[in-house]
Amino acid sequence: MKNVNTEFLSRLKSRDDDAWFELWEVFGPALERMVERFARRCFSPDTVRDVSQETLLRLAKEIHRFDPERGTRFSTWLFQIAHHVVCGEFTYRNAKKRGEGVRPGALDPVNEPIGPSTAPSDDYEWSVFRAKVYRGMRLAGQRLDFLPFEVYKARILRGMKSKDIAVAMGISEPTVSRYMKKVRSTVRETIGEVVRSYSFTEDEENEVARAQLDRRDELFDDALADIYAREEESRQGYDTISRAVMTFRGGAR
Amino acid sequence: MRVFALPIFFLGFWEVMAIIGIAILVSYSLKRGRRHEQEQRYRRLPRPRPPVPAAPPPPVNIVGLTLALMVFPVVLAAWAIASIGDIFAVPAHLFVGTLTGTISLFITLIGGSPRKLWKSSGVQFVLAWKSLRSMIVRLFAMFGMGGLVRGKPKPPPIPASRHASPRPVPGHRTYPFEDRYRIESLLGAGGSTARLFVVRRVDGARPVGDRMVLKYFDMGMGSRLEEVIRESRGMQVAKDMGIVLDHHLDRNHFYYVMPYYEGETLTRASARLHRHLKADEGLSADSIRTCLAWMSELLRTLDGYHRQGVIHKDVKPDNLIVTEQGVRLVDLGLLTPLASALTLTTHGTEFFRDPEMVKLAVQGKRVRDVEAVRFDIYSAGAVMYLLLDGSFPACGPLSRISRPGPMALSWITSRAMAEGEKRYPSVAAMRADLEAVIAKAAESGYDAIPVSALPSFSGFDAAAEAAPPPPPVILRPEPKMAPPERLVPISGRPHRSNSTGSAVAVVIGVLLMIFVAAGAVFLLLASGGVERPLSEGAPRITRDGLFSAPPSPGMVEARPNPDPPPAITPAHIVGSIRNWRAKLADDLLPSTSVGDLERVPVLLVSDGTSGADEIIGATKVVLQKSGILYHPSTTLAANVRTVLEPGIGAEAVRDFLLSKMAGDTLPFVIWIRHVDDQPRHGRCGYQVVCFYGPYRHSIFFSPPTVGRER
Repeated sequence: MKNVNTEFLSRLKSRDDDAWFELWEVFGPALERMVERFARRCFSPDTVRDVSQETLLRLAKEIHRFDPERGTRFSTWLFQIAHHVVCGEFTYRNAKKRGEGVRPGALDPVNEPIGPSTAPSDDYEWSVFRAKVYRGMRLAGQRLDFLPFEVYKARILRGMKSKDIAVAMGISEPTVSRYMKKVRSTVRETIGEVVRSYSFTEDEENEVARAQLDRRDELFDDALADIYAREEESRQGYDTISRAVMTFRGGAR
Repeated sequence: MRVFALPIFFLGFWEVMAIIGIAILVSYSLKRGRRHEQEQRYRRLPRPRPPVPAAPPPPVNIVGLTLALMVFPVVLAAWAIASIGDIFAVPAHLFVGTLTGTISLFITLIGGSPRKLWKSSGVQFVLAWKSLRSMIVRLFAMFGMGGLVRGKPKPPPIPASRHASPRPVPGHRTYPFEDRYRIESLLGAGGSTARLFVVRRVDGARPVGDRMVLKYFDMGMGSRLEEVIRESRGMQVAKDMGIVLDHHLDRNHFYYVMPYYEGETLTRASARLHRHLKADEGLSADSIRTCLAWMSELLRTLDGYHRQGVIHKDVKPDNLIVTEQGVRLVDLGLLTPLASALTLTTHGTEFFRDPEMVKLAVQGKRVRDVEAVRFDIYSAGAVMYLLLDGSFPACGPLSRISRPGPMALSWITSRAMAEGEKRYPSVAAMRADLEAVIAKAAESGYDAIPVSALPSFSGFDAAAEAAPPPPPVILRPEPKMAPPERLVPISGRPHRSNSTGSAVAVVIGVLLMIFVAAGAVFLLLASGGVERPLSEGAPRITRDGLFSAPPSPGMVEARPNPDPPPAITPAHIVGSIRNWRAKLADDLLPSTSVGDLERVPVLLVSDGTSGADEIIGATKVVLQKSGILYHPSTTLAANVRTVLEPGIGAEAVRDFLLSKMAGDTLPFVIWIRHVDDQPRHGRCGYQVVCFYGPYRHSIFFSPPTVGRER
């Protein structure tokens, strides 16, 4: 097995606050969507967030037991914990309905095998990868100047032509091309960096190639735009519930 | 006059009298229906559970039944006299209910949606049933069998005042503000445990002035001290800015009053703008102009907040009300002073909350140690995103505006939501860009504005200097805050009208005109004439009175002493601590010895002035030399200071300490504050307030002399 980068894992184990925040930033949205799917819309958005955070709390308790050498993906492990937390929440609710009101005993997700019902779907693994790409893009945005990154966003994410961008921005077309090249290179680097940081198995690292992010120039841009569009769609799809709740609350004013 | 004479000519005298009689019945029924709805609204207000009533009387009173049977005709006559109102009310309500029901059915059949009429019809039937029921109950009661038909005991009746708003009744628990404000309705609750009411000031027995919003926290009804502390932090600044009109704080309650703005939320206004757009269609120029006008107002308001040294921290479309006067920012729940020493919290609303703020909060940063104005800038960018895109910025700083539109606006949105140093450094810089777009659009249209024409494109410094200073924030609410009845038409689009509905309304209006005229005569007679003006001697709350801050309940103000108090020195403070301990051990805590209290550390808290800080520094040295334990944490002292500043009492300080120091020994809190009250009490110096548990002691000292004792 390939020697994977375990620096991030070490930071998690040493209770580095920044690492835990990064974990939440990267895996949080995917986790929330997964919990929402588990709960089959039985939970309110607030409960979904609570359960997601409960998952991370459980993760914090068990993080010392995670061993990437066994070949288990980190995302799969997280999935399994989330599954147990959601089941626990359902059990608690049923107990409450019966009048018992007692939270069920703690589950030990690590020792239980992954059955067919608890195996993560490809969608979930894909959403985790998209979250990593999103994180890489944000990192590039932080490192680059504002103007080049805006040019790249306009070209890739909004699908504008170089000529239109040049007119709208008030810069020349060669400048646009130069910015595109520079930003593309940085984005490629940061995505690679993020994927290496948050992946602990060889299979996870190979996802870059499977997503066609190892290709050159325009093909890389197309793959990136596709991943972004799916990620945006996914986040906005999940946000529908929140939006409905927020609109309802706003309407009550 | 001929018009009024015509019915008499055609119908004859008795027919006209019958019509007038019916009109009177109708107006009476409708008036009663309105009052019924008002009472129902009032009863729905959240109140603590009323006390359990006494046990009901036995169902059948044998003696009463026997006596009533002996004088049966007399009892029956008495019942008829007592029920005369209900005897007329039952057919009146049935008639009006049937009439309104029929009209509603007719309107429904021709495609209308007369919800109010249906509701009114239902209310009339309910009232008819109530009148019938009260007649039956009265009859049974007269025969000593009231218990058989009387249901569960009702809450005390609510007196129907002529002046519209229902009033709380004696015995029913009232809110502590109800002697000053009359509740009109309840608003939807937000994220806190507070309750929001629409109120009006009361002058004597009647409400006066404009409607206001009152936010009320009650410790006995689930509110927490932390919330009160958080909400009261920026209260003084908010009052200075005129966005809080009044506030009150005591041991168990806290409330503050804000102006009420009638309108719709920006969420709805934005949804209306995007309702008819296709997925790949951009906003029209009119819509963009409207959005930019709203954004400009929001930025001006935020700039005013920041200049006053506070951030709003919860800018979102639901907290922006679109009124005829413009966009108004509401909800001061998270108002935070920029100089606050408290730790940053993650409160806010997802999608409109800066992710960077969450990160800093997780790191435990204090508000004053970060550039907190940036959080409001991010939120303003997110609001702009919503206006331009019609959806939430789900991807945070990477969110893209999917609708085609001016690149310059996309640039402003992205820059407001950008991370790190790329974000606008101030609201003024963002506003300068926005104003530039508005100005240039008048010449060439939105799409023709290149991003390079924005002031921020070539560096913010020059732009900020060139930009005109924003007008200062309104220090007092505008004299006329009367809520408009009509909402702002967005982008000049007229409201759609239903021609069928209008025609039906005209027909119904003509039919009911006669009834209304007769009803008006009846009402005038019934109400005893024209409304009487307030007497000259009636008490009135003046504007000054409304704005005057209530005295801080937690503070004990020393009376002026003919002998000048001693100058403050560390030795005096140490002496005060020893005396206070002895007093506690002797009088207040008899089970505790002085030795026990000597093991309690002393926490010295300054009021933030340099003089008090200096005294505390010197006192710590003396405490160390004297062997008195003191609490070394400056963070805790700073936190306690923020609690003490609003003037919360000793118990609140204790609760705060308990929440912060789980398991540790609670310290003596010695708060040294500078007092400059020369004009009122002729004194200037330092007040040393000692807190321990629920006890408090206050001593006043003169300012230190030139040769300070160290």
